[in-house]
Amino acid sequence: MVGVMLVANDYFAIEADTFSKPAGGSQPGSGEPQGSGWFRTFTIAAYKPYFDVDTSDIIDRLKESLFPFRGTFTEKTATNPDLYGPFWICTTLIFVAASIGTFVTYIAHKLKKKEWDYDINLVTWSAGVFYGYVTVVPLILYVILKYFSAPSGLVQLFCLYGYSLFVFIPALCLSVVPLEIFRWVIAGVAGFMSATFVALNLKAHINSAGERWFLIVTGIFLLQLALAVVLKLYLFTVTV
Amino acid sequence: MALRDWDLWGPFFFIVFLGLTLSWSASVKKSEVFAVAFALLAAGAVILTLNVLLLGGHIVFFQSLSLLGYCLFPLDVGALICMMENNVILKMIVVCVTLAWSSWAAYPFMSSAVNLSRKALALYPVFLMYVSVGFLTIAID
Repeated sequence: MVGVMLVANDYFAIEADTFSKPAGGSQPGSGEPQGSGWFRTFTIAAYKPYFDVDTSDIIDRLKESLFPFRGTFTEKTATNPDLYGPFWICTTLIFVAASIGTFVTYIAHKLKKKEWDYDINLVTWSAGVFYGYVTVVPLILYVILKYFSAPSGLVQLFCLYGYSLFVFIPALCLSVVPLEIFRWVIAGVAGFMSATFVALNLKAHINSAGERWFLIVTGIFLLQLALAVVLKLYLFTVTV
Repeated sequence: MALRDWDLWGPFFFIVFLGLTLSWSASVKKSEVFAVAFALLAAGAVILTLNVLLLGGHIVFFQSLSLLGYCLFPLDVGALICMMENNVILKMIVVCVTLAWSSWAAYPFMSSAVNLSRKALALYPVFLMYVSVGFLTIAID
């Protein structure tokens, strides 16, 4: 039994780079050309180019996202869009949103000396919202842009939307303050910054598309603002 | 070293135990708590390993799953203690200590697997997962 496991271990050691099942009994090593066809999307090697970033690159991009009026994000990431940033920003946001939301309801209930139970639905709800938003909206935008013949790479759009959500992390942390007006101001500012970031970076790209660019840019601006409002309403509206 | 003889029974046991402990501590929605905890830990281990592989690191997939599972042991102990305690401050201290212990256990393996310039990128998700489990432990009462 142990012998079999050791042999299996060696087999997996050779295949540290790929995670695909061997096709037809042949042994895919990292030297062979990757398999053809549809199951390439399930190998790790297909996605490696999108994770080719160093820590300093990520920190640079995060800082870029905090200055929405520069509009240089798309240029900087045109040749090397990454998916690390969007994925982990979303995941961090889910955790921060769930924990801050829980904390806020906890404080509100304790202040009024009422019973409080942990609401696990906060986690699942925020996961659905954030992952869904960053996946679906860029996909739709990609299709729309293709239709208006100003094609943008799909990964660039994922990258843009992912980093645009970064500003919500400090905004959510600041929203712990129990002043209603303060929370609305924070939500507004964060939503505005995030929406401007997306809009300006896209505007530079699709200016060449012709007359419809203004509509598209305004549309996505409003959509991002709507996300900020939805977040504020769901996470911070406490009924005790 | 011991890593070559990876197995998944240990991690499976620790994940289920942690899910059960959190579920027992919860006063409502017990089965949902177990489901979320189990999914978070199992999917988290897989995603963390994929993350390292995608960043160009050199690890073996199942070795990494095995190690991440075994490193949950301190958090299991912490969750057990928190189940029997009710004082929030004490729970926070216990969770912080066990969290630090778990991270300290997982750090050498994860940091040696990737390039030096990407070390923080590989370690941050590990930290995030343990912190979220720790938070779940404190919040459930």
